Amino acid sequence: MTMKSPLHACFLLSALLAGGCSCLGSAGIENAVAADQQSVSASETTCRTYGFRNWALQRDEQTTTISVEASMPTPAWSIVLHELPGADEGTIKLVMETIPPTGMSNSVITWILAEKTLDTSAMSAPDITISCADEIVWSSQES
Amino acid sequence: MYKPRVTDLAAGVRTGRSVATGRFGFSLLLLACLGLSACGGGSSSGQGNTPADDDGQGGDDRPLDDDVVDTPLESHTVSGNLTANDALQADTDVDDPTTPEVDNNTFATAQILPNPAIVKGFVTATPTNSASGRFADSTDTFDVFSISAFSSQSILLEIADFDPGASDNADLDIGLFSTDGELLEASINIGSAFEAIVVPSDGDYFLAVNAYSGGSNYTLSLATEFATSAFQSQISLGDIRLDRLAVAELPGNATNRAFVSNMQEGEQMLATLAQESKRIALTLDTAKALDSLAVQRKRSTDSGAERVSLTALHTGDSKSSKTAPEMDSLAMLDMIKAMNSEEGDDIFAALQYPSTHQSLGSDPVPDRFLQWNLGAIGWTEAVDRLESVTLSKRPILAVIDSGMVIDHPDLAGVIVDQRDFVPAVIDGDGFVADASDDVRVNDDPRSCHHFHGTHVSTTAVAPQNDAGITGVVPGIGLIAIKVGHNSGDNCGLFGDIANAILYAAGLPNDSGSVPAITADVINMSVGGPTQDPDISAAISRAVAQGVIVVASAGNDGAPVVSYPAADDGVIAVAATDTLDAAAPYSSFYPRVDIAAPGGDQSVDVNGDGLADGIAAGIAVASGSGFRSSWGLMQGTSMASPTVAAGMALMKGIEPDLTQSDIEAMLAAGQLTVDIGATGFDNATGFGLMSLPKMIESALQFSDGGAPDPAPVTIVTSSPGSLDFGSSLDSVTLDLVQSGGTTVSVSSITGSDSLTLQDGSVPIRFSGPDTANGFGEYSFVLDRGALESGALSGQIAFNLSDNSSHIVPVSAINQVAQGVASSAAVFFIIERMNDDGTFEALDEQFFSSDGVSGGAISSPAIEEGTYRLIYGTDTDNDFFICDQGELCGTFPFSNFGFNATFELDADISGADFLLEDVANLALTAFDGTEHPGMGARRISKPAVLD
Repeated sequence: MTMKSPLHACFLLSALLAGGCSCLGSAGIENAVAADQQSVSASETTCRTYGFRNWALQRDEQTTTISVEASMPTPAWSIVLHELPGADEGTIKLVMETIPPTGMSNSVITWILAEKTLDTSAMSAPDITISCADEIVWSSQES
Repeated sequence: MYKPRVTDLAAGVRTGRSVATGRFGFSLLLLACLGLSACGGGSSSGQGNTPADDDGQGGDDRPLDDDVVDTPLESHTVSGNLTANDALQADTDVDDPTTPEVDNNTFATAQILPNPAIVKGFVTATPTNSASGRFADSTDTFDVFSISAFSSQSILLEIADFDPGASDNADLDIGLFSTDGELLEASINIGSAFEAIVVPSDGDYFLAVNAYSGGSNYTLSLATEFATSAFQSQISLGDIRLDRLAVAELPGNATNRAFVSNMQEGEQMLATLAQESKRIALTLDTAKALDSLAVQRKRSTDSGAERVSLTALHTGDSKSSKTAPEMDSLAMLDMIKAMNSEEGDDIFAALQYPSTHQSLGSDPVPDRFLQWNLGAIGWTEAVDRLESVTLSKRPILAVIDSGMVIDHPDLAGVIVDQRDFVPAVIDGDGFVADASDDVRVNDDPRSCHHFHGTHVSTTAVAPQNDAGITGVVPGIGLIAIKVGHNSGDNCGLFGDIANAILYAAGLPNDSGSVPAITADVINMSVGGPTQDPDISAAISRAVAQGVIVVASAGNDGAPVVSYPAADDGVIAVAATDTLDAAAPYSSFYPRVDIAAPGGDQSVDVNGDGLADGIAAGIAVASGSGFRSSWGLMQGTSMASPTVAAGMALMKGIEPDLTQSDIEAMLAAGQLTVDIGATGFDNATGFGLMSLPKMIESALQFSDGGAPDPAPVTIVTSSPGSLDFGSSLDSVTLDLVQSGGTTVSVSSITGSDSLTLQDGSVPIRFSGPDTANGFGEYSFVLDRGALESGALSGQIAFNLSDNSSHIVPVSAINQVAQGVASSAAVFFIIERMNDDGTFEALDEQFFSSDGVSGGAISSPAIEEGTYRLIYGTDTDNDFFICDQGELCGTFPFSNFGFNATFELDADISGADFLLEDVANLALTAFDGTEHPGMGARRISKPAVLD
């Protein structure tokens, strides 16, 4: 099997398969499909996107709202930002989960809005990071 | 107009020598007067024939020797008016300082041209250093003209001083700008005497001639067609793709340099490289409004050879400056030119890549950048092929989608049926005959589906109606079926897709009705991870009815199957990008059958400033509602209707085609161009859709078990269009037919501004004397009956089988005059000697405001046989009638200097006609010191203040 777009395919596969980005080699396509689907169902925070735009951070005295648009395979995907427990004091770690549709949807690439409001009343400008799969895709320190 | 006697040069007869010739000359004069009727008649030349006995003593009292031996010749003048063809114009700022200067260097001071027009001009990128030249110490980099031009008109620039054998030729380019100053098109050749642009559409423009390097006279023509295909630009801004510039690096060159190789007459050049891809950063002149231009090489392999493409990427922060996409192309070519200059050789390469892409032709012209997807599938070739194909039926395509903007301009005249298959429990109105897209979601006037159904439908069927875009198969019938709905906060496809499929196929369904005309093809740009048994069953039934079912393969960019694409009997369509490669998001699995353009909006490979998506109809919010518009989308959603439209066309040619027939054709490679891995691959199936191959396959189809299809009558004409241009008044056309049946011509009708009214104005025709009306026709255009302007229309040969063969017609009539332009015109008088040779007199004269028409008079010239040659000296090299300059002779002769006139009386009312020197068959002047045909050295007066 030939990967036609190694950059993008690897980005996606790295989110699905253990062991980093690699082509599936000579495995039968049916096995590959099955393996892919098993990986998705087993993962708690699957994150698959073709890119991000319009990162935004809004703070007030009580809350901090983070929003971003992610490029998704169809308009029917949804995106959830989860706050990971156990982060160091003064930091907030979020992980993005992209949730595929279960039914039919238009086969058009679409930007889907992801947004989360955090209670930061007890924090003073916490460091916030957002991960998609194993990759940090946004950090408040760099924004 | 004065019409001089034309003297036979061979006779060598002349009259009127100077008084200094002595008695001998006088004798000759006597003989001449005896033989010529011009003698006498009031002349004061003193041509007495009898001895004078003044003192009455007899004899000849006339003095001897030098006192009075020959009668002095009288002097006369030649006067008249300078004239020029209305189309002939002169650049108003040239190096000749005697030409009145009128700035035409900017848009604000653009020189107005007529149409058609021929401009003789001069530009220079460097000071000319010419004696007293206007640009001796400065430059004239731009000449800007204001034009009103028409679609498909040709603009040609000829660099007058271009010498193919020289390495230091001036390099001039031309650019076409909108009235807002936006660069629309440019011709930027390297190492060529010609630049050429085709006007994209009717309108007003600025046309600029730019001296890239050096300086030269030029001829700029605004015409209707090129005289020869050799004038076609080798590099036109409209053709150049940044991804299609092939470069070859010199062996052993380890630096980050791009070097270019020769292109041979448009043939594709594959550059073989050994080095790995690397990024090349170039810093360009900031006047180009670019801080830097990073050129990234992309390498791809094809049968062992390597093609290298360049993609220009902005790396600077100057996007706020004018960085029109064309500036990237110009910057790229600047780079190439700079390197060529550095290397001292004019070599370059313009690789058309990928080869499957075609330029888009004829009017109305789909924008070749915006609608790159049409070029990728061979659209132009298909359109040309269809002109000789008679369809068995109008193809009908059913689009099952989110709903449509029913009154969208790019759905005008195509919707044959519509139905809503969102259940009443959701939308309250059930399966009604209304597929209108939802336009309100919680008081938001925009559809949550972003008008997906409209985009998909117009991609397939948008008519060629001079609005928006052009569909893959323009104008085929559309059955619009809505299955999308905005349900509260939810946006989804809540419709009954299974029943929608049955409805489109004309099968019993829950709506209780079927379309009056059933679908040949169903398109579903939808997908989901699980198979729906109801949908699968409906598909099977539709396929059994002979309907072709096409669906998008999915956008997961992974081996994730999508249904209904993966259902049995469905043509699954993957998406490709502008490089004819699988789009990065396109799903890949064994069920993929075929690929078509779906776009990749993460890049702008074709450098048009727009992401490389698929342009089609949408709508945008407007007040409390919305308005029709157009926009880009990407996905296998866009690829699927492209294939569906092509297959609908196949069904229109051969209605009996079935899904299994299509699949067999696919497997045999009859509908596609193989891309990616050789043969079938999961990413692109059997390859990239080819619309011309689809047409041919349908025509050649033969079902062994079914009755033979009805023979197709093919009607063709030669030429395929009637183009009268700006000068032709008649064109002949051969109408021929071939095929299994014979048709006859029932009538001939016209349309638009070129109407045929009882075969009379403005076009009369006479046809062949044949029973069926096929043969040679003669069409005669009455220009007097036409208004000024560019005219287009079509003539229809209406046939006995109720079809028509359409022949486009075009013509240009002279439009408004340009502003009269002046140029200094210099006159050289040449006297014919006894031996028939000519000698230029010292006396010369000039007009500083010629061309526009002005009176001119020579100084007094002694009687004799003369000829006049006159012309401009725009490059101030003290030679008139150079290439690129205006020239004329008096008397006028189509044979150059073969005509003379007798000056034995004042000549007035002469017509000094100026012409393009290229039109004059001037012979080289003996002893000329200047290359060029008929060029004459002149002297000039001091520069006038």
